[in-house]
Amino acid sequence: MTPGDKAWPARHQAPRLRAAFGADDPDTVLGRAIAGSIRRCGQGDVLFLPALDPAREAAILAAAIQLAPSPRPWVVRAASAAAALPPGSFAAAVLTAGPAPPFAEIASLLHPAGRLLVDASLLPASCRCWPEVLPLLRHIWQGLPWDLRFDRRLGRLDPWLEGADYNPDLAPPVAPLDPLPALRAAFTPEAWHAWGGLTELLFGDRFGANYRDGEPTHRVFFARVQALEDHLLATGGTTPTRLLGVFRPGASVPTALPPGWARPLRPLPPLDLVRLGFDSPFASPPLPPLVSAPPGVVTWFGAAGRGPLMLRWGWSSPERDLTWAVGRRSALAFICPPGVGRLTLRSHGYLPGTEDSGRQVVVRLNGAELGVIIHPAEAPSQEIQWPLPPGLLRPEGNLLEFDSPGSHPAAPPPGTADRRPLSFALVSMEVR
Amino acid sequence: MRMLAQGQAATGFATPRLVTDIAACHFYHSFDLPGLGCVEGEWDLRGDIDGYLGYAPFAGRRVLEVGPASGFCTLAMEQRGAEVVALELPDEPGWDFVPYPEARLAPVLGPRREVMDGVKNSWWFVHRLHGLRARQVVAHAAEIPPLAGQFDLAVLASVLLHCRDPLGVLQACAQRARGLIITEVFCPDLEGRPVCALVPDDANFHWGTWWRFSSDYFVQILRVMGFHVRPAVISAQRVRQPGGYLDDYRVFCLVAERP
Repeated sequence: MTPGDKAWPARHQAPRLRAAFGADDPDTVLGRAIAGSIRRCGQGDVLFLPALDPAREAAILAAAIQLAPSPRPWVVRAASAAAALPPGSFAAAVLTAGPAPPFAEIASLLHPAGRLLVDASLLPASCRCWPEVLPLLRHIWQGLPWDLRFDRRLGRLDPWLEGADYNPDLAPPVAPLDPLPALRAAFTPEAWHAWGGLTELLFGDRFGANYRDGEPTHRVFFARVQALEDHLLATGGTTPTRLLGVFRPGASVPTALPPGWARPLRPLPPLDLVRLGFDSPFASPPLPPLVSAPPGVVTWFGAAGRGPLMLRWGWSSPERDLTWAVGRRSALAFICPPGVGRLTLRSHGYLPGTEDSGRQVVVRLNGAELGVIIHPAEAPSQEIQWPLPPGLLRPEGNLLEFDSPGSHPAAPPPGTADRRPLSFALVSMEVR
Repeated sequence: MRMLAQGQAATGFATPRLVTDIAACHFYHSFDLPGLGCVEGEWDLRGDIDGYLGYAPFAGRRVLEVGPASGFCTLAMEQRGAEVVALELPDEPGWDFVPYPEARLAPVLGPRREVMDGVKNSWWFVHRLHGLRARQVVAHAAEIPPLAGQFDLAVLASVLLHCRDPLGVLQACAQRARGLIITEVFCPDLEGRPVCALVPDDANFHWGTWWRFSSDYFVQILRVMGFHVRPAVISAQRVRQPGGYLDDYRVFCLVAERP
């Protein structure tokens, strides 16, 4: 690997910040916003949530003092964003790290002309992107040259974007942790820039230094990922993972809301990249391999079986004897001789509560509905056979899709920390 | 004047060996042989030969099969309608040995020559029992005789890992065939990058296997050469281990054709 240029992503991000704030970097943005708040309020009390490292704090305050020499900023530092907040009437509160603070209380501490300044990740500490964009990211990832997939932090290639910190299986439930609803209930955005998890991850501290100015393709790729991220944020494909913004106290009126600040109901399948207009500037990647399913041979979906190589999207990590579908839609691909006439699936339903709709899974092969798997409470394990109409199987490979409208993201069994939105598990598949 | 390889007739194709004694054969592949039943070899492809050959269509196609071993793929391709020409190594120089010191290699050379002779016998034995039409050419894969002609497909199934210069062999085959089929052992640790890994080291004494490959390695070079490459097909094949038990090997197969 060539030595990395850690400033590459920030340099290419600068025009966006300039357009939104008139400044190229977050520290200057925050400094200018503090200066504006001090001028409006006629006082210099500034609350940092939490305390910053001294060098960064000094840089922000220097930018503020340059624009508003008097009154001088008077800094109050909270231990953390969630700690008990000090009393006062602040010209500005600067939020730079989670967990999500009590926004209503912050609003009450601000001078009426004061501002909340946010430069923070909105994600729980164990996540770097919202789970709904991970299928898209992984699809893009597999199309990148291998040198762009080199993990600088771990010093190794990451072939599948497999790091635990962006594994949705390990993420806590995202909805309760999403701070945006509370933020917009207490504040209205004036100027803001949001990241949606794509640029943050693809060009973050692990991989960002893999990019070089001398490679025009790298710049084109960055711009296209930014455009895709903007589109997802604007259309509700995801919500911000990180915000740099200036907020004034008072609830957002709906028309003032940035678009796309509502969590999507389902992940976008990777194939939607085409619909979204994303076009990678790199040579098209090898298509994912197709696993052969010879007639009469059972393919198992436990971790040691061949089945996991068939999985495309919507699955959790394979477990010892099976693989759980996560969320509503999942799919796998395989190739088999054209003459087979029957498909057998063994599955296991996830039945944490009494909701009947969660027990049904609609199965489609190459777009044609084969039938529905029903997992009744008294017999959650099912073996279903379907005849395959002539001509349904394709010689170039087959896509088997599962749609389970009643997955159960919000009702984990008592006593377990597993909050995955499980719907059913696939145990085995056989064609004859 | 061109020298003919051993066993090579003036037509360019090998003179058939008349092998009637199964004891003279070393079976690299397992077979169900007419009148003899199951004969066990090191690789049992019977469970998924279509996957092993990437579900390529063979009907009406002229196929160059490099390194046919005992001929299970020869048989399968011919049964699916192909005209097969098998390219077998000459006895000398024969196998592409990894250059371990002579003293270390010496005990291997004689037995290996015997095994290779037995494998060649097994191909002709199967050929006779099944009444195959396939012909054989004896030459190194990088030096395919012009007399063999042009092909629709060249099949390199579990061959390139044994070649010192796999890309040279690939290039030679690409000059003679419009399409290529490459089958190699699937190595998840290499996937995602266009790389190969050197297998032999001073301790393991792998004298006959040079490389492990990622499928991306071949996809990239095949695209460079102007081929359209289909998605890799992964299949599980049974391989007899030194202890006698059968283990599942995952292999990938790439089918590439020029537009």
